[in-house]
Amino acid sequence: MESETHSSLLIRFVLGCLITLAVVLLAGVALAGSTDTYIPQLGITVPDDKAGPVLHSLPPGGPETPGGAPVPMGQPDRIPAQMLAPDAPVPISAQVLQPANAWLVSDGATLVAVYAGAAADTPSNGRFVIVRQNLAVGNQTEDTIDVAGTGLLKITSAPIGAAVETSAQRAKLRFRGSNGTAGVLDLATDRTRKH
Amino acid sequence: MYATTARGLEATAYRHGCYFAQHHPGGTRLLVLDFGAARKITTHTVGALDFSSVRFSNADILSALEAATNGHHNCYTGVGSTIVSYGNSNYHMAASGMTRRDAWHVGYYQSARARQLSDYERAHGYNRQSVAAASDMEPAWDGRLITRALVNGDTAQGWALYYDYGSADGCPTSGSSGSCSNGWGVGDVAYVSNHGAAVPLPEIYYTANADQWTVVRRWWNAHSSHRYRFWGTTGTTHVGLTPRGGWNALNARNQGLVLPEVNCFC
Repeated sequence: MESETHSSLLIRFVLGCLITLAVVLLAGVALAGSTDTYIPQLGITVPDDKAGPVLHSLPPGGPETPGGAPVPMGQPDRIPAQMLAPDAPVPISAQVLQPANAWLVSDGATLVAVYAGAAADTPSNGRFVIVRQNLAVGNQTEDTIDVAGTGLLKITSAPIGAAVETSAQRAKLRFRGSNGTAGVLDLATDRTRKH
Repeated sequence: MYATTARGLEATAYRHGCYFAQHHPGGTRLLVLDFGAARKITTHTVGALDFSSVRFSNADILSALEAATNGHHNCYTGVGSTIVSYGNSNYHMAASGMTRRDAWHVGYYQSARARQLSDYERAHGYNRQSVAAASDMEPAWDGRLITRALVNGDTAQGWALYYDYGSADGCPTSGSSGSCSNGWGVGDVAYVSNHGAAVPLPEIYYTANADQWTVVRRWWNAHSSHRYRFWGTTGTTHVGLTPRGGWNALNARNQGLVLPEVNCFC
C-alpha cells in the first residue's frame, strides 16, 4: 500500500509538473505568437512567423563579386507551331480571360502565344490575349484584343509544324465565336476581321 | 516560362535575369519567374507544368533559377537589388491528380529550392540578389483547400517568403466578408495571401479588384490581431488599369498599407 501511495503521489507530482510546464509553454507560445518583429530595412513590423522569410528575402548588400558567371550552353527552345494541349496552364488571370484554347510557336529568338476565349468581365465579347517574348534579350509584351458580341472565341485554324516557326508569328489565325461568328486574327497587325 | 527542354529553360531564364538587371529601376525589386502550374512529376518529385505544356522537375527549375541569377550578375549595371523568386500557380492541380498532400509538398519544396538558390547566390558573392517563392493563386483555378496546402507547405518548410500574386476573383467589392469564385470565401483569399510566410501582391487589373482586396484586408483584420499589409501589386497592360494605376487604386483604399512594389506581367 505504502509503495502504491508513494507511486500515486509521485505520479500526481509528475503530472502536476507536466501540466504546469504545459501551461507555461502554451503561455509562452501565445505570447510569442502575439509579438511582432521590426524589419529596419523595410521600416515595418511583421508577425514572427514571417520574420525569418522576410529577412531571407532581403539582399545582403555590398558590392557584387567581380567576375563573370557561367553562360548557359544551350539556346532557348524552338517550339513548332501547335495548338496547346487542353491541360496546358494559362498565364492569363481568370479576371481577364475565360479561356477556350491556345496556340504557340517559337523560333528560338521570338515566341508568340495566343490565348482565345471571352472577356472575363463581359463574356458576350470574345477576347484574344497575345503574349510575345523576345527570347534573345529576355523581355515580354502582352496585347489584348476584344471582338465585340461574338461570345467565347476558339481558334479554329492556325499554322502547324516546325517549318513555320518564324513565318507563323505573323500569320492569320481563323476563329469562331460561340454565337457562330467567324473571322481572322492577323498577327502581323493584331487586328481582327469578321467574315 | 515557355520551354521544351531543361537546357532551353535555363537559356531562357538566363536572358530574363539579364534583361531584368539591365532595366532595373532601382531599390529592391521582385523578379518572378513563373514556371507554370504546380505539378507532381513522379512519385517522389514535384515541379511544374510550364506554359508550353512540358513538365519540369524542381531540379530543372533550380538550374533555371541559378541561370537567372547568373544572367542577372553578368548584366548587373550597379543599380538596385533583386529578389529572384520561384513562381508557379494553383492552375488545375486537383484535375491533374494532385492531392492536398502533393500540393503541400510543392509549397514545401518551393521554399527548400529557394533556400538552395540563396546558398548558390551567397557562394558566388551575388550580394545584390536574394530569393523568395511565389504563386499565382486564383480561386477560379482550383479548390480552396488544395490551394491553402501550397501556403502551408512553404510555411512549414519555413525559409522562403511566399508572394501571392493571384486574384480575388468573384469576391465582393464591399463589406468585410462574402463568397468568391469556385466555393472560396473571402477568408480563403485572406489565408492564401497572408497566412504564415505568405504575403499579398494582388493582381489589380480593374478598379473592382482594388475593392475586392480591400474586402480581403478587412476580413483579415477582423479575424487577427496582426494587421494585413499589401506587399505591392501585380499589374499588366491593355486592361482597365495600368500597373501603376492598379497600385494607386489599391493604395487609395488602403492608405499607407501598400508597399512600393509593382510586379508586372508585361
